[in-house]
Amino acid sequence: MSKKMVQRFSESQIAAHGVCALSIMALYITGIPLLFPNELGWIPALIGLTKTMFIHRLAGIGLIGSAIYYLIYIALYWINIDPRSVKNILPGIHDITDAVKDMLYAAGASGKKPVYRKYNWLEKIDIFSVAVFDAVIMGITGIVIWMPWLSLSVMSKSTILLLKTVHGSFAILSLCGILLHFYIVHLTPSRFPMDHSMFTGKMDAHEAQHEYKLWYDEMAEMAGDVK
Amino acid sequence: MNFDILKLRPLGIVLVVISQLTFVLVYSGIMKHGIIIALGLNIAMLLVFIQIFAMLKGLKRSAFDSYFVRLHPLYDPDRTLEK
Repeated sequence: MSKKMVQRFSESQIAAHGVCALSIMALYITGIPLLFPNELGWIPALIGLTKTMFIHRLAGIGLIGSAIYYLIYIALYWINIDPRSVKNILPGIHDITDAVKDMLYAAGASGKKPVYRKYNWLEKIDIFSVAVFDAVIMGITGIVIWMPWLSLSVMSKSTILLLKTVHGSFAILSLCGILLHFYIVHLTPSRFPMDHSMFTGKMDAHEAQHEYKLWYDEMAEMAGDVK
Repeated sequence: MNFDILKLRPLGIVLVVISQLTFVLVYSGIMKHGIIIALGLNIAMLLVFIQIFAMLKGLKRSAFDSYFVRLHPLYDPDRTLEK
């Protein structure tokens, strides 16, 4: 018997996530070795430094492009289709309470697991770390150090060197965020070895009801399916 | 060969923790270089490579699904609404 599935992501979201994720991974592989040449120098040596930098910049364009696409997509969806959709994405006070409840549950201090909307607090931290750290901070600092001859006309050399340090430091922070993402999608007990919902766009209705109860109830209510 | 893939999950958790701790060691200044740092950084890169592999595998499945759904005789593009 086939399982009942619910639609969680659209084809546009799947494609944008694909471009964004592959770009970020390419940025790590080509960027982090430059910060640690003694430990990871084998990667640029294998690809060639010129090609490594070319891939890094291409991936940077891919990441900024997908971030702009996401922004336009959310805005159009909000204006034209569902004005309530934004509340699923933006962090709120309930995310802080959910985080506290979740930690208490994990520590065994509470026997009740919090109920989530479409995205839980951990997933929001994940997406906002990509949106804020990677696309905005890394994007701006990356463009500045990509074209220093243009940047020098509006800022000093020491500022550019400072931005270069910021770029590297935030890259590490961002990688730590992606390792958290690795845990969520690959190592969560119910999802091991891999969560396919980001690729198929669909999620098992039972899992949705269990993991994202508020979202599932809202969908059921909209479909007039509440018993 | 009868290998239970679930046995690999604890190993994955250990690898994530080691790579996270490596960055803590490097950026707190406790340890800047050495075999432990090299090991931790290379594990982090290994996890990134695994994610690339997972992404490509997932996108391949997604593309195949999307293609074969359209080939189905009962497929109606008007019913495909984005949610």
